Amino acid sequence: MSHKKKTSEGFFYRLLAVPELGVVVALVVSAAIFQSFRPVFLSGQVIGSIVQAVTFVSIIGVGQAFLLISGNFDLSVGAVAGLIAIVSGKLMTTAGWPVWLALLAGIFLGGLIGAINGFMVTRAGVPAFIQTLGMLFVSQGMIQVVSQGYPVYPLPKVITTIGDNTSFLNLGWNLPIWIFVCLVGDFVIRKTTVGRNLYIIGGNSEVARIVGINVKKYQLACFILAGSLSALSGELVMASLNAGAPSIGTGWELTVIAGTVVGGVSLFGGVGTIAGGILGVLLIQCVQSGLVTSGLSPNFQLIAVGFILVLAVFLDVYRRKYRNTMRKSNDEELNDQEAVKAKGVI
Amino acid sequence: MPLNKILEVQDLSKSFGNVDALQKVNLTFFEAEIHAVLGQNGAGKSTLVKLLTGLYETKSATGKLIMGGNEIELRSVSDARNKGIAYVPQEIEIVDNLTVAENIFAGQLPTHHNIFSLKNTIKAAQELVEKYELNLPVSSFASNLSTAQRQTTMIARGLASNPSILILDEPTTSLSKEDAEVLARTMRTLRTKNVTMIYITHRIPEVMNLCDRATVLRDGKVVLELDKKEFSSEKIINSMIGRSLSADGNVKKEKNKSKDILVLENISAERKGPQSIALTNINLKVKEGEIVGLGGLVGSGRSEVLDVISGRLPFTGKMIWQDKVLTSTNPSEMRKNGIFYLTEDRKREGLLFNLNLKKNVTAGSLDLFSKFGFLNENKESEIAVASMKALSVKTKNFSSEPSNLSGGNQQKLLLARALIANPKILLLDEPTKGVDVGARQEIYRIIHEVQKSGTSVIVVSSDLDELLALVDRVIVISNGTTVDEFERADGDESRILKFGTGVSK
Repeated sequence: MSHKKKTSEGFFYRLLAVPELGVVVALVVSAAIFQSFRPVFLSGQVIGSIVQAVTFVSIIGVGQAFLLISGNFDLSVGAVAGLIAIVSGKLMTTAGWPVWLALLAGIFLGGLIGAINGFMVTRAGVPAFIQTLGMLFVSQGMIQVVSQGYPVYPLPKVITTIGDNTSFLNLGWNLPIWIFVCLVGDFVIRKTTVGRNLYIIGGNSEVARIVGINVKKYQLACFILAGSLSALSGELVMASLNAGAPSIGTGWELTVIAGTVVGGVSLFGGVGTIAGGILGVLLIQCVQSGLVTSGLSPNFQLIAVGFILVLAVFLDVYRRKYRNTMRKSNDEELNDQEAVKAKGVI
Repeated sequence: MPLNKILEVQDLSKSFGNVDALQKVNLTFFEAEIHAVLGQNGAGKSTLVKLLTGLYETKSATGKLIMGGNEIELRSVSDARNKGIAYVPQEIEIVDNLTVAENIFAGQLPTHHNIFSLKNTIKAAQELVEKYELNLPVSSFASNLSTAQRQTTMIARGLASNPSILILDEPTTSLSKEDAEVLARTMRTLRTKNVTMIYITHRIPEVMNLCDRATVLRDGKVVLELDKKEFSSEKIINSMIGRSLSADGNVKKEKNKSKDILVLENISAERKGPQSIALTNINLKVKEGEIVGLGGLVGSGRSEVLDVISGRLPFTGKMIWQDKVLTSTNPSEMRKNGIFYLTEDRKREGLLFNLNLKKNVTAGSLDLFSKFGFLNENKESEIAVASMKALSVKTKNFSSEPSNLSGGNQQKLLLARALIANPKILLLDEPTKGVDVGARQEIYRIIHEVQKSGTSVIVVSSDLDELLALVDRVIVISNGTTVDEFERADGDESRILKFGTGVSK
């Protein structure tokens, strides 16, 4: 395509087309502001703690982004992460299973919970909101039943080596696992038939059905993925805390959804990228940590997240509108007669 | 019969851009008559209705409306209602979980000091129902109503403003024969109550039985006006078609002698939902490389037949695909068999507004440029751009979004999607709906090229000229059943209309 395009294809227009632009700008701006308040903000320690927190949440975020792109979402992810942390902790202690088996069983169980959600949504027709909200309560209750309110502690020695590995910026194995999950997720969504079909399904599931895509199978697979990744994340938190705490994952479902949506993944399906979703989670974590280093009350974190969420979606709506008006004013193809025929005479 | 003029339409003209939707239409409606307005799609019926109901302001057209001797100007639907013109739309819009009375007064609920009272609403509805002798249980919930009662509720809603003129827009489209009888009875009763009814329809037998006068519109002009004693289905059909059209209808086509690729035998199907048409006894055959047209009225079940073939609608009966009997299907299986479906509704069931043009074209055909599930985007781009160019999709940028395209180009985009899939049968529902004249010709050319490559095509179109110009064989559907079938050379528009409108059986 030629590079000599007029206004509609100009630099600004193309820049506006990059969905991650807003998050990157916001990330840079907020980091700069916090740094100017407290120069300690961009120190290795703070960055390390931000990344640490981001790894846990955004592993779930990858699964949530797949679900959102295919037109669904899952509210139970945080509770499932907590439940699996407790269950696999119990399996490797009380039940005496080998550690590797207990960890694998946990991820399998997470996938199974996802499969139940997926089955109820795609086959039984229960709205995803209700089904996964129900699963959120069930999982929270199960956490209390299994743990009886006490953390699972102590865990086998080998678990500590997962959580405390010092070879990766003192962040433990969750850093390389996080990077791996993100890279694979991003590759699958952008470069494979699976990813493309998810965009088609999320864009319009009826069209997807007509062109021959097995919509239910894909949506079910996304729920299973979200469940498995939640389980993985729960186990990583357990490893880094060196305990199966009943509080793991509490409230994460909203942080995850807020983060991915801030990163440009549409709640209505078919739009967004994994990279954007992860950046969104990073932005929210960055603001939360920044407020802590600035010495503000932790309650302000919630207020800030609320503002960012609404602001991000507002800006996204505005960006689209602006792009549309730029496009319309340059559109010569709209044919009067045709427009009339389309809505009038028939 | 006393003939008091109630509404006169004088020299009414309206155009959209350079399309003349109505040209100097003159009509007179008398008190207490049922006046049919007939015409093919695009004849100007809808425009006339919209002007009479105030949906289009009177001053947006030229000409006069005279009511009771005075010239009137309609500014809005509620303005028209206040002046005594009420409208019963084609679709039955009933809220199931409200009472019939609330449904009747929807949008104009009677209130007392701004406070709603269900008791008063039911009382008002009861008075209305008694006044017009309608058979409606006003205090029960609408979910209990039969289809005929739902239609009656819609009429009651129109009557709620106590109008002198009631316009009914194709009310029988989704009604069974029995329900249509109930409607006819209701209309006869209303006539005795001095209500003038303007009855928009396609169905000629209903006109003959029910109406006092009939007006036929064609190309925005009044071409025929008949009194009851002059009624003849022959005259009505001929004037709906217009004689000038038969000139280009004499395309001779060779008889196709290839074998059947798809056979439907005694297929029945029913979709759940209030507006759907049940299919019974659908029989049709499609040969390899043949273009088959499904003729019939809107709402006759044409689209449902395509839904069955594409696997979207479960059926009972026998479907034979390349000598293999299929008892149940789904879209993904039929797509693998080589059936590609472009539905009537491009916006809701065709285009993907979240993806660019190239990705829109390749949706459903990713295996053409992927290995082990990995996409080769360069190859994708080549394939997509080549197919869009071949079908001359006009755009400045193949990576832009489909909302930028005009209707004709959107349709060509979808045809490109279908053609790269290399289908054995292409199902096209109203392929030129909302498409301008130039793009129409290109779409016809594309369909003929598809045929030359050996693909069979099944076309549904309300435009009879278009249908006959395109197809090798016509199958006429009426009320969910195949009623007639003929080779292109053996029939014309009137044959489709005769069977499709129920004049012949």
